[in-house]
Amino acid sequence: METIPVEKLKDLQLMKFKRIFKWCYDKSKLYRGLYDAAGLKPEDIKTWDDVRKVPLLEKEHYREAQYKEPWPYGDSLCVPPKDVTIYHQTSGTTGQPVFQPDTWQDWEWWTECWSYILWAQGFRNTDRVFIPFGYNVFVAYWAGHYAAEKIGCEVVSGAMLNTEERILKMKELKATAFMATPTYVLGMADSCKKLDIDPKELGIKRILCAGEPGASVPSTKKRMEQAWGCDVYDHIGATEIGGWGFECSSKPGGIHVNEAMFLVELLDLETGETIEEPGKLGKVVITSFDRQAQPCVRFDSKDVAMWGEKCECGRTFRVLKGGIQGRIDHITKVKGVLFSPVSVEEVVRSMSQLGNEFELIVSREKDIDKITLRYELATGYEGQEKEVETQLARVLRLKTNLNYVYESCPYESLPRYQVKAKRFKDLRNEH
Amino acid sequence: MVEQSNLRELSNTVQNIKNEVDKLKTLGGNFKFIEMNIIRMSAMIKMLELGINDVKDVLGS
Repeated sequence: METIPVEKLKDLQLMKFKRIFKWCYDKSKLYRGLYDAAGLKPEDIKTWDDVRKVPLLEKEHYREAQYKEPWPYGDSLCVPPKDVTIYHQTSGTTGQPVFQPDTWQDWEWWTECWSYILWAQGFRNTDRVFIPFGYNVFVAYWAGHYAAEKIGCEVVSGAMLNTEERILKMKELKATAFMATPTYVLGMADSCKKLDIDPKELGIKRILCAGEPGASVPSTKKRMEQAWGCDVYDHIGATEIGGWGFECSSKPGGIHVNEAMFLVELLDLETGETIEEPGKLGKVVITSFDRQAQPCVRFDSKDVAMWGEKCECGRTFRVLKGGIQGRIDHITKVKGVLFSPVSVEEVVRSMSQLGNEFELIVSREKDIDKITLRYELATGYEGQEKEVETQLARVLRLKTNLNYVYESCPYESLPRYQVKAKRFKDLRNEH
Repeated sequence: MVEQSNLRELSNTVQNIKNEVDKLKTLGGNFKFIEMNIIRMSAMIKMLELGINDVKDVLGS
């Protein structure tokens, strides 16, 4: 499927969109209500222009439809409750968590989607994959675990172990690959040093990153690859959507969209028009074609991205240049300048004098925006705050067109995260 | 890349397997262990349909 000619891929997508639209309309009160209000019925969806008339689905729609019978999925459920075999939920970063039901077929679909990801990154049945993550109600790494099994890898769960125990288990078993957030990948490298272990000598060949965009930020990727002496790959997925994008082993500087299983549309941030050309930032809207229990159709992911150029790997799946560029709710105006925290990450992680962690805090003093960068100096660079801040000011001014207030923090005093890091805080509307 | 004629044969085979599984389900009657295993088999067959039969349909084999 990955090499289907582009025009046939478009035909496949349209065929699948019609099918999932009808499924949702027929099976769910949430969708039927949404589409009836827009005056759309399944037979109205014939062309790509018709697809673009379908109303966007927001997380809020799920929240309103859920928390009622059939408990807890309410009107968003598209199958009888007895067919649901797995429960997950979103993290609740932006409000009430969304409950995500899946049938057994859905779960097979999740692992199928992830199999594309792992295969493209070189995972094979000769790999011993370690998963240093505490599996729980979130979908994170569950699908990666079972997809790795599906393609024949040997999978080792490090769920209930602490970081040091995980490292020692990886060493003992001679794991060849692992999956983690970029933050945790860097944190584990630091922990290795405390154990007198050089991460490069553990024999890890590849690391799959999830949960944060770090593996698509060149300086963060480089930092991870240098620390572990192996390839680091990005992937994109979400509880409500599925594992929909992956970096391939050609490392095209972006993420392939699995266009056989998902429709990804980029919509102009101001006009809402569909963006097809490379290089223009747009809102990411996604449809998962083949999910049963609670599919997403034209789901507004609140992420922003831009199309890139064709990848040399031979896949016809399009590439999102640089992966996800940020969240709509994180891209904000500071002092009248459009600001994305990812651009600061790129700078911080490119400077060897700085540790892995940082925080960005936007506040307002006497009606003037203030942006503070809290950073840690890496070990061995103690006392070099002045030089570092001079360099940061010069590079960040060029990169973001903004001036910052700098605050040096003791090494390891800033929060460490295993899942979604919260390094950006906008306090302007807080009292 | 799989030849289109092979794709047709693959698609027919998947359909045959699906029919056989449906038959097994009917024959299985009230045997719960058959029903449970068929749910799992059907999910895997669905993945084959997505990767083979859908593609065959758009490629017009």
